[in-house]
Order: sequence, then structure tokens, then C-alpha cells
Amino acid sequence: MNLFTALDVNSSGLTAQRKRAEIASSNLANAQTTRTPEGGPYRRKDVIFQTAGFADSLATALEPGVEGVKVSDVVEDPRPFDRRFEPGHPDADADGYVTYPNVNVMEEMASLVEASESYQANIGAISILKTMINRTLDLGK
Amino acid sequence: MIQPSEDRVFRALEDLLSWTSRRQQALAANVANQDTPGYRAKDYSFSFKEQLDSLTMTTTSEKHMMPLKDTSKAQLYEVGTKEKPNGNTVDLEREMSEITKNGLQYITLIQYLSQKIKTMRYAITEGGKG
Amino acid sequence: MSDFRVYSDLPRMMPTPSATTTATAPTTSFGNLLNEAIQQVNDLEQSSQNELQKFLSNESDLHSVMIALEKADLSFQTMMQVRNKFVQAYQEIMKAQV
Repeated sequence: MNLFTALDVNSSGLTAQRKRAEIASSNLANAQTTRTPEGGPYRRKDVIFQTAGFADSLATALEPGVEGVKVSDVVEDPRPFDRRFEPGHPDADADGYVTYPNVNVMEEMASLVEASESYQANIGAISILKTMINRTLDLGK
Repeated sequence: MIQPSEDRVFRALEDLLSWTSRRQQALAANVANQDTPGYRAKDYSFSFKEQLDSLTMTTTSEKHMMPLKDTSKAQLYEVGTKEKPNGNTVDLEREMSEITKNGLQYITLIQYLSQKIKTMRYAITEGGKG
Repeated sequence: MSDFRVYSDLPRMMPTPSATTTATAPTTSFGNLLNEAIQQVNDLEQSSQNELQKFLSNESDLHSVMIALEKADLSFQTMMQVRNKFVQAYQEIMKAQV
């Protein structure tokens, strides 16, 4: 089962990186959102990666010391918001300042690129695993 | 009929395949956890060459039943040397290169085994004719 | 069947994958050979069933299952060849007696 378990391990990598990309996209889309339903500007979100086993019976097939990955939490970035002087803005406060989200566009783009590269690496590993499995099934033929 | 000497080759190859596929799992974990904070890259200490050497020693002399190195006792060791700011030691290039090499080793073993089986089958079914 | 003794020519006709069987052929009864072959087929069939069971409950590897299946098949092929040769030889003897 080693090969199939390895597939699950890399799949967990795909899932985690996809989640990371989703959050980065959400941050980018809301980089200018000054108004949220909860009041106040959008606060940047981040994913926390953590090693993880698998919940179903395949967990017994994991070699000791080998783990997959999962997004254990989506947290809010506590860094301060960005205050800009825009007195004409509908959300400007008494002093004419508008509070913008604490999203750094360059940071989010870098995150997206990294997530994409990591995703690709897992795809590459899976591709090799699939070849190994297929060749095994053709043994002797 | 499958002779004991042939069966020994089957079993040795089976062990090698087990070890190789087990290593593939550890390498997969490194790739999956390349961004996990604090994760240390791991690998096994057995080398493919060592395994191959003990295999060829076992099969060339029929009289000696040399046991293969016990691969079930292989330990995982930390392999990362460079640590990223978040404590992660996975070197992606190294992992992808090892995954490719290990995969090729596995496929080569399967290939060798497949050939052996095909030869045996041919000898069985065609050997008696003419 | 056990009276049918193997002469030195029969091993040469017999399609075994290894030379070591033929070395002992002159004193081995053909019947014993067939019995051994059948026994091995049974054992390997059982092994491959066990291996498959283990695989389905995540205790075994795919390559182990494939190897077990191939070994069982090879053994079965051998047995079929031995059986065919026996039938062939028997038919020739029956023709001669007429």
C-alpha cells in the first residue's frame, strides 16, 4: 500500500496549497474593501500549515514518521490597518482618514506564486507515483 | 516448477521493491510539507546501492543463503541542512530529484522482474517443443 | 501412474525452467513430479489469495500481490505442461499397444 499511501500524502499537499491560494486570492480581491458586514475594513487572512495523518483506515498504512499536511487553521492577520488621508471618501473618519485593509498586494502575489509552485511539485510527485503503480500492474505482461 | 533458487530471487526483489516504495512515501511527505513551519525533511539511511549489492551476492552463489539487509528496520533521519525562516528544512529540488531517481529505481526493478517472469513463462510453455 | 518410470530422454523433452530438476530425473517417478507440481500450484494459489486479502486490508503492497499472482500462474503453467506431456506420452503408448 506504500504507493497508494504516498498518493494520499501528495494529495493532502494539493489540498493544502489550493486552500492557501484561495485565501491569497480572497485577500487580493478584498485589498480595497473598506466596508465589511461586521463593520470596518477587510482584515487579511492567513493559513496555518500543520503535519497530519489521515482520518480513515489508510492511517495504518503510513510509515512511522511519515505525515501528510493540512490547513489546521485560517487566522486573521493582526497587523494594523492602513490609514490613508482621503477626506472625500464616504468612509472617511472625522479627520479625513480612511482605514484600508492590511493587505500587501506584493505579499499576496508572492504567496500565490509559491502556492502554485508547491502545487506543481505535488503534481509531479503524483505523476511519478502513477507510473510506478501502472508498471506494477503490468508485471509479467 | 519454481525452484528455491528462483524463489530467492523473487523474494529479494520483493524486498527491494518494498523498500523503494516505502522511501517514496517519505519523499512524498517532504514535498507535501515543503511549507509547513518547523517541518524537518526526512529520508531513510539505506542506499539503493547497498541493497543491490546484497541482492547480487545472494543470487550468484546458490550454496550461500545470505540474508538481505533487514530493510524493515530502516530508520528515518533528518536530512535538511538549510533551514528557512519558518523552521522548515525541505529542499524542494533535492526532493524532486530523489523522487525521480527513486521512481526510476522502482520501475527498473519491476522491469527486471517482468523480464524474468516472461523468460520463465517462455521456457515453460515453449521449452518442450521441438 | 507411479509405475511409469522416467528415462533419461524424458527430462530432455520436459519443459522445466531449471536444470536442477532434470539432474534428479532418472530416479524420480513421473507421478511424483506431477504431484509436486500440483502441490506447488495449490500452495501458490493459496499464497496469492492471502496476499490479496492482506492488500485489501492495507497490510500488503501492490507489488507483493502482483508477484504472488505471477508465481501462481507460472507454477500453474508448469503443471499444465507436465500434464500435457503425460497425456501425449500416454496416447503414444496406447497407439503402440494396438
